[in-house]
Amino acid sequence: MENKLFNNPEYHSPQTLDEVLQLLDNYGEQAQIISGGTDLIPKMKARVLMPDHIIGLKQIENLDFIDYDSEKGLWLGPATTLGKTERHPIIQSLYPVLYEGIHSMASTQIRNAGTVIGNICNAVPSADTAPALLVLNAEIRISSSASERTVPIAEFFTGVCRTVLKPNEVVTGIHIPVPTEGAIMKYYKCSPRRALDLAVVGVATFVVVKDGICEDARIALGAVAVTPKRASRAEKMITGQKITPELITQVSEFAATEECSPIADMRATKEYRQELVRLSVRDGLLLAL
Amino acid sequence: MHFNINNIDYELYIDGAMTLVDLLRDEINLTGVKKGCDDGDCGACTVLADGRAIASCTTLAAEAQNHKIITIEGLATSQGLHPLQKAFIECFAVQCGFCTPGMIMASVSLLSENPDPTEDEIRDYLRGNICRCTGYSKIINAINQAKEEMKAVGGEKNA
Repeated sequence: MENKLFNNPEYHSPQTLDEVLQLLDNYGEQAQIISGGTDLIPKMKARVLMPDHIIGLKQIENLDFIDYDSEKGLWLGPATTLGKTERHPIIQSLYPVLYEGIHSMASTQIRNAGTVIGNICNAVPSADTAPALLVLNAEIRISSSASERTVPIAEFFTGVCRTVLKPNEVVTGIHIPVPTEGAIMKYYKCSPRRALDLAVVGVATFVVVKDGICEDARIALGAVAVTPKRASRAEKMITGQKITPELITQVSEFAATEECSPIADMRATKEYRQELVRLSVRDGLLLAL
Repeated sequence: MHFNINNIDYELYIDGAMTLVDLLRDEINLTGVKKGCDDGDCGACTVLADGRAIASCTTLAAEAQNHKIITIEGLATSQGLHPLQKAFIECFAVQCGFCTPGMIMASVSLLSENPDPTEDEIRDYLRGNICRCTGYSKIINAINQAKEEMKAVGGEKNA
């Protein structure tokens, strides 16, 4: 049966990771990895992406891992679905900001097929896993047939739907360190609908307070710049300081005006997005007061 | 390629780029699986893969191999309708019926993961299934009725 929507790509189902890397070497620019397909297939239907080759990952054994070690932290695999991740007790108890990011996405059906790694590789500025991964200081393991490298998530995104991945590379894991004990973390997704909608503003906060002093403050912003990003300058305003409502107000105002450059579109004006950033950062930090 | 759909095995030669919804509707004639948006955004195409709800319009048919796929046509048994099917009828949760197969399949997945959901949990779980006709309240009633029947029987109905 002819399927006109797709530019008739060739579908490959390699049985090992090595075969994937070989296929990427061969087809690189004309190939797309498919793990869940929840971003790739709509894009192919809309002809935004028209690869000649699709390389499937789901049939390879053991790529859907969630491995936790109390010292080394957490590893997620390239075929690990959003659903499997959010249902995992360690994610819910130790990494609630990641749970909240994932659970805010799309729908149950999409989360049962889509993957965490797919979400960051798709790299839209509003990616809901990104702010959580940024405040958790995740590292991305990238493999090719020739090499393996690890990139901190803060360096992974390079532009709208752009990452540091070269055409013959694939992400083979995300590593998330064990979070500091006592950290207060939260993800706020601001969007017109509760389902099947992207974030107009996404804010993740991660705060460690001891004896009234903020020992560590991490703030990540999604959907308000060309990439998801940490608000490092805002963080510096509060790290090492006594945490007070006045300081929180200052930090959230700074984050809203100086740490992001939101667009204006049919979903919201620039000023409204900035206001949402201000309120979300404020509320996230207030949780640690 | 080899498929297992509604507990029947199929060997089919298909395009690598075919989506699961097209395979189910056009190759196997399971037209209970509806194409609403064909984009992953409405839930009308929801089927179960190994018991979990997925959107068949954003799944490659090729990647559905080696998974148990159940559609609305596969729910009823020789003993009769699934409690959810019965409840949807009895509670008037069906108007035009277009969202219904997907809504029921998603509900089967919900009750297998959470046999006693609150209304908030039902709404959150089913937020990927859009209904234009009913306003959802009778759908909630139907799920509540079905869950009580399934709890009384003592657990998961075979899906």
